[in-house]
Formats: sequence, structure tokens, C-alpha cells
Amino acid sequence: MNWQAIDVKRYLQNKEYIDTVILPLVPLSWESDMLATVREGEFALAIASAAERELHGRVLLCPPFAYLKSEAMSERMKRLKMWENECRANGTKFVFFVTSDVDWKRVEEECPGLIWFASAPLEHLEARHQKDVIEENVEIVLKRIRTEWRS
Amino acid sequence: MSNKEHDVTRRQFLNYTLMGVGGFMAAGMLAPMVRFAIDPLLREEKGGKMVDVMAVKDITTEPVRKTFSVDRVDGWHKFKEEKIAYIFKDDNGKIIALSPVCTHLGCTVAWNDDPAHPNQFHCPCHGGRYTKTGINVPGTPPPEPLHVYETKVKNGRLYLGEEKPRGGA
Repeated sequence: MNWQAIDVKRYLQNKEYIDTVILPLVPLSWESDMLATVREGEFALAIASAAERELHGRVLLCPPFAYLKSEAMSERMKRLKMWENECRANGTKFVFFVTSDVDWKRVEEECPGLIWFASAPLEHLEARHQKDVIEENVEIVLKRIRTEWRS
Repeated sequence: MSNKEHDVTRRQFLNYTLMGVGGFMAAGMLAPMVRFAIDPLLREEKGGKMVDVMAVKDITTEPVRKTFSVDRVDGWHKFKEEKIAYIFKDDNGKIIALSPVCTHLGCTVAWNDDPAHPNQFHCPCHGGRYTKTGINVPGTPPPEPLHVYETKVKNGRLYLGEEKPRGGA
């Protein structure tokens, strides 16, 4: 389900079936690393949206958790935990954070739902190759989510 | 005078001419009306635009996953929608193209990926299952069979159209 009225109507009717939230983590920056930062966010959003398509009936894809690259990790974590707690308080059993920002890799242990993958410069790829790259990475995300569901 | 029989009188000539011109004008007026009247028929033909997916000779009795894209317009926003079909021949040799969108809540089902239930379509979300022909297995969440695509064979190629529900369960 997407964060859209048409999907959320269905979500509210079938809440007992939709126990998973996917939250893309999207960084913002205007410094020298702006282009790379944009790519990381774009890629994470593309992967998250493709994963949502596959798991439409059990997953709610939320609007991205956005943060400034200059924001201290401790601050980000504090805010992210608030989002996560809010999800869990409302009946969500599984919360997954998908991101290409390497910053999060350092705090993986504190963030059990984190799924990290390297970003690719999609704008340089032909449509056909874009599809391949996305499919490959979506598979990582799907595998991880299905494993957690089974356990 | 044998010639006389083939001659046309002035009156006949005028009659023919006026009838010809009159008929032409009437046709000019009627043609657009007829076009309007049968327009729904013509439009339906155009709306059912079908997409070339694969060669008929490559279709076996084992379902294969094929992706294809169709042009969609949502308000002013034009985009390509990716679609998936599982294509195979049934026991009677009839080509079947199933849409793998689970009829429960819309996850994408996969063919034969659950060792506990071989030769079935299986939904990763809530354990919904369907037989090879897409009929939902009773006792699993889906309320109806998988939808089927309209199929058309032309010049040895398989074309797919819209997916349609099948009703019944």
C-alpha cells in the first residue's frame, strides 16, 4: 500500500493483514556532495517503491524520512526512533528502513530494521539496465523482509 | 433512326443530374451522422490495444513469467505501466495468461516457489495459493481466482490485452 488515500482506505479496512512499514531514508545536502546525496535518495525511493509493488498487500510504504546530511547522527536516530515507535504503537509489527546512505551502516546494530544497498547512477543507465539494477536490489530487500516474516 | 433510342431528352438529363448532385449532398450529410452512430464500436476496437509478448512456439505447459509494459494515462500524467503475466498452455492446448496480482490484497504471487506446495502459485504475504490454472485454493485468503489476460494470436506471436476477473471460486 502506498501513502495515498485510495490505498489507505483499504489499509484501514484490512489493518490486521498489513503489519509492515517500509520507510525510505532520504538525505538532503547542498554541499559538494549534493549530486551523490540526491542519487542515494532517488535510488532508495526507487527500490522501496518496487518492493511495495511486490508486497502490496502486507506493506505500507510511508513518505520518506528526510534528514540533512549535516544533522548529527544522534539527532537523526532520536527522530527515527520516534517514527518507529509511532508505527509500532499503531499495530505495525515490522518496520524496515531502506537506504543507500552509508552513514546508516555505522549504526546498523542500533537499527535492526535497516536494509542498506549501494546506490547506482540511474540517470546514466538505459531503461533496460535500470530495470535490471533495480530488480537486483529489490531482491535483497524482498529476501530480507520475507525472512523476517517467516521467523 | 436507331440513334434516337440512345438519345437522352433534356428532361431526363436534368433529372439525372439533379438526382446525382442531390444524392451526393445527402451522402455528405449522412456520412458523419453514421460515423457518430457507430463510433462506440470503432472506439472499442482501438481501446483494446494489445501488446506483443512472446512467440507462440515458445509457450509450453510450464508457466513462464513475462513482463511487458503498457502506456497508461492518469489525468495529464502519461506513464508506462509494468505488467507481469504467467503464460502456459493448459491440458487442452489452450493458451492461458494469468495476472499474478493476488486477489486478496494485491501482492505479486510467484509460480512454484513454495516447496511445501509444489506446482501452485503462492503469495508471499498471507500464504494465499492458487492451482496452476489460477483457481484459488479453498482455506487460503484469496476470495477469487487470479485474473486472466485477453489473448490473441497473430503471425505466430502472442498478444495480451486487459486482465479480466473470472468470477466463481
